[in-house]
Amino acid sequence: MLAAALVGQKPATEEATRTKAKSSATTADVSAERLAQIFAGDDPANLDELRAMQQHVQRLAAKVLQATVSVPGASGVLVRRGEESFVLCAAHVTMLADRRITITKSDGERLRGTSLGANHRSDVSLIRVESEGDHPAVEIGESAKLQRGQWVLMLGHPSGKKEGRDAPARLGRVLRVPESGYLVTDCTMQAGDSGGPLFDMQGRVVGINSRINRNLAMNMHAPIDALVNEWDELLDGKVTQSRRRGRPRLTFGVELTYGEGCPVFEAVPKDSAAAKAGLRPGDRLLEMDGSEIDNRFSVRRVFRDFRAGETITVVVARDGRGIELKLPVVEGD
Amino acid sequence: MTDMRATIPKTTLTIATLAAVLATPLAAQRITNISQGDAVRKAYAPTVEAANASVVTVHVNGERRVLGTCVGRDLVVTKYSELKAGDSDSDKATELTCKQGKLTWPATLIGFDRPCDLALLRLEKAKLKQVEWQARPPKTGAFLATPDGDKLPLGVGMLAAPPYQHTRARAFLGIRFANGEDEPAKLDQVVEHGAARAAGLLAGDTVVKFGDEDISESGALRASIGRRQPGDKVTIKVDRDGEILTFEAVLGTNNSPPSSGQEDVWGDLSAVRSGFQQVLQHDTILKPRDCGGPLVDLTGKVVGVNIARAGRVETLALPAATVQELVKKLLQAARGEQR
Repeated sequence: MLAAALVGQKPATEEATRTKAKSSATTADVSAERLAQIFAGDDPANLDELRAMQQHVQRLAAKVLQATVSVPGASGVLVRRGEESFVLCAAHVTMLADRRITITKSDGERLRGTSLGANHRSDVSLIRVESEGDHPAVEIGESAKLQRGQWVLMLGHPSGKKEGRDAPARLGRVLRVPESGYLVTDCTMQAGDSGGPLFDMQGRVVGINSRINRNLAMNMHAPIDALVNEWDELLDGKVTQSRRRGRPRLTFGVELTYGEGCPVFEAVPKDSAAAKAGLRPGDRLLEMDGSEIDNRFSVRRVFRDFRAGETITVVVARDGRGIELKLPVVEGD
Repeated sequence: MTDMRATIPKTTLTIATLAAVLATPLAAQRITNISQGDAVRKAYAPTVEAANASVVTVHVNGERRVLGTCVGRDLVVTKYSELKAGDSDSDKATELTCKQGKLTWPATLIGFDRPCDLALLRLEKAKLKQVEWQARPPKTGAFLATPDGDKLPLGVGMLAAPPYQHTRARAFLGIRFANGEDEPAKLDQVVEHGAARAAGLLAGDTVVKFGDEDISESGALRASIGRRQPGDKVTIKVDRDGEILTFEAVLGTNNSPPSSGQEDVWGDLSAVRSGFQQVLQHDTILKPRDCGGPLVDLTGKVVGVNIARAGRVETLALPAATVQELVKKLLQAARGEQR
């Protein structure tokens, strides 16, 4: 009732009016359709909707916790393929194939595992569970189907597994859907969460915790499709290195000046490919491929995941506004 | 190692550029935390209505420090370590006040619990509304809001895990030794707010007896403390300039947080962020100055008191039951002192 009254004071939007009508029709209940709509990217409009979300999230968190594991200093999640159990993890956690890895389940039981392949470009890896038994498992989802604003649940062991503490669950939303590169959410993340799972509201794993940004509420996950698409290679123990060594330096074909704050494109020749893509002299580089940029190292780090001929989605600041552009990547000197 | 792949370099952004960047409309479009953002906080507004009457701001010598939670008509609990006057000079006179809207009350510190970092204040002639405690501990995934008196909550988030023991309870006396392990247990420092200082020990004292044990060297004292529990009452004899003096100390616990080496990307953290026993960990992004106030669930009842911003992903709250027990204990102790 309280919630309906509150919304009633401010029927400023169609959304609010609609919600009011619905909540007075069904009192405290929120329809399954409306809940699905919220989880797909809507803001909850009132207390009833928050309660419905909470109920769903609490059940989901209890369920996916069972399959969330810790590996030394980091995290992972159990899945099953046929008769076998695997742990989905991050490449920078397992690093190499054929390493013995102790997996600790949420109930404290320890399982023996061996690392399989790892892709250091997309930061995904696989661990085979050697210990027999009927281990818990989650379903694998599709990261390509994610939408910006969609609600997600993340688990992991920040700062490593802590005695007596369940893997902390965090709620967030998708900030960036990957065409390439990373999936960005506002779930809070910390060292130790790496390799841990990101779930959609059906409890399907859609991402693997990978890296943090300076912004506390902007963190990165490897999209699960990157792992699924490479399942067979990972199973074979293939380790793909990041493209860091022996590669030509990549640039946008125009000079980037580093000083205080975000780097600036000071000169952008009119006939350059970057200018044709919409870049203007004086633009400040704020983001590349979902990563916040504040110096040359953060720029280089993003280029590492691309090759000449591809485009990188960037955000530049111009006249106090943020503008999204797709800039072509070229080999520099 | 618990190393994240992201190795974030030291900040090169000046405050001015950072402010300029954040002031752009871009900030609203892309860099806001949308799951804890304004639109979502609006839905939480009814949950903080009641608790707003039980939140105060706590001021030290006129400077706003933290929030406080009303636990009686003239009683407020808050974060103890944020009440210091200056940098480390604890003996400086402090003037405590609490504010709510246009009202201001002078406040007196009537007790504190160092392990929980909780202070109990009495407000002169205040007639405040006491918080309504939630009897049941919240479950993982509980939606939570932090009120600060405003119509919208200051922050919203979710309970990350069931209540757990945050810090392994180790007894601490709050001292540093002047000598090595095999030499006399002479005190180089008596830590501010520690058990030794509260008991009356001074730097320069040499401990000669700890409980029933004769102490001839630092190592022996260290081992004796290690065998005790926080809260144990111990009789300590010291040699002060040739005179043997006897003190009663109540052992404290460790409050120094472990270092992760990644604090530079953790945002602003509370100075005291460990040492607590039972805690509620939630993912609300708060500032250290936002601690001390109540944490409510969707019924509007108070499940705990925010006690520390402890990491990149964690805000910690003392559970309602812990706070209620402590208040009772601190009130009894304060009455005992008056007699």
